Amino acid sequence: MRRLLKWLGQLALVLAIYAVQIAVSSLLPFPASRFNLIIAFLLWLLFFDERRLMLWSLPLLGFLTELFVSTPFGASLIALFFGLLAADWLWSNLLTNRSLSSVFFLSLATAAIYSASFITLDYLFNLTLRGPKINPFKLLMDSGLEILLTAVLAAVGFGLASLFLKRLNPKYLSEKKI
Amino acid sequence: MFRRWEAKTGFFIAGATIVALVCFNYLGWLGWLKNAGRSIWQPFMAKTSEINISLGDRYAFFKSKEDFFQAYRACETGLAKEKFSESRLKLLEDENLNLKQLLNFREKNNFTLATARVVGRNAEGTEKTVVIDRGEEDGLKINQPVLAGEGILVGKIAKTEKGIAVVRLLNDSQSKAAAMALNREKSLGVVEGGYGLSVRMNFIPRNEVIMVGDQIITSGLEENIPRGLLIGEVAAVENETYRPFQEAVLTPAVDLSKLFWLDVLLTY
Repeated sequence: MRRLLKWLGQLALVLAIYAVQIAVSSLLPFPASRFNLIIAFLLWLLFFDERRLMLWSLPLLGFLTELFVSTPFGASLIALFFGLLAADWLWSNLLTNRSLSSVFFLSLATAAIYSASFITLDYLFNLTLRGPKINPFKLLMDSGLEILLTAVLAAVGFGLASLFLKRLNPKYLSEKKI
Repeated sequence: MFRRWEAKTGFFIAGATIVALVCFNYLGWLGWLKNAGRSIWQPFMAKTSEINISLGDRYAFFKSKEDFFQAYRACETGLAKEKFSESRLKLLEDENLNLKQLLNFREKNNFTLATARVVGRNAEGTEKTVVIDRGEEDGLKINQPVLAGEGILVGKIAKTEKGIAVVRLLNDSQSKAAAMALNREKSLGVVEGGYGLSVRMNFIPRNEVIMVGDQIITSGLEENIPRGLLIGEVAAVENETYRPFQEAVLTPAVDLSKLFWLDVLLTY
């Protein structure tokens, strides 16, 4: 029962994030409308070691994003997967010191990989599915602001949350008998 | 703690789910799920769209008293100009009617339109789109022009599915439309979106005179879009000596952030 409630709570959280993303992109004036809250949320889950939640909410959020966008189905979903896969690898192997600068650069890299994959896939899908022609260079310039703002949002969110979280688990101290 | 191999398995499962979703979508098996998702989220999107329209007015505030008076004076001048053009238009209309009768010209304006309600706005920050409640079953196809009011072009269809279509607005950076200025030379150009912030007319030859206030209409040199749909008017002209063409910044004829009902031009 407790597990079921936890799952329902997590599902509600994921749906709330999508609702906030819609509100952010359609209500806020430029440039605040360019925040990509979905990427920031998935990165926060990675930073706070909630990989399981991150992994199951990834297809759900990706699918929901696909419902109301002008791009062919799949471009955003696959790009989100590539971005998070790269983020997980960087977080585990390269940017491992968990500092605010690491978080910022990781968020920047993830948002950039997401945008690059999204533009490439959008271009390829439109080419093969005979969709409207797109200008990938213009789209890349458009994404620049989104990348920067999303990285700032993810880093600020991490910085604020880390003020309220324990840096070292006391259980670990007792186990090691320090 | 989520171990490394679990992370690998997790990513594999997530990746497989995504590949399955994409494949199922193109096989047409995901229609019911997408329709269910849209019917749940559509009321929320419509509500945010309504709030956005009412908020739009609050964002457009005046920074100073001077700005306000300047805007007021511009309004008054605009009104006076409007009255003058109205009288001129009436005269031209009469002349036009006479000429048509003389030439036995039959007015051809048998547009087939599909009226649609705006039910949402862009779900992605980088896009400038609106979602309408008509889809492919109503005959909507990609690149069909979308009109507001009486023949004002606001964008084109970018995506159609069952029950909905996504309209790419003129100010989206991927938007393009063949246009013509109503100046002496009838300058041709391409109207493009400027990263969601502005609408520009590019590729205007440098030797042609284009003035602030000139009206911009569709040129008809593009498939699916007839000549004469109003786009907007010139707000500023950029004619740099080092560039092969001049550019004009346009004010769209209708506020692209306040769209309620739209017409999709199916045939003409």
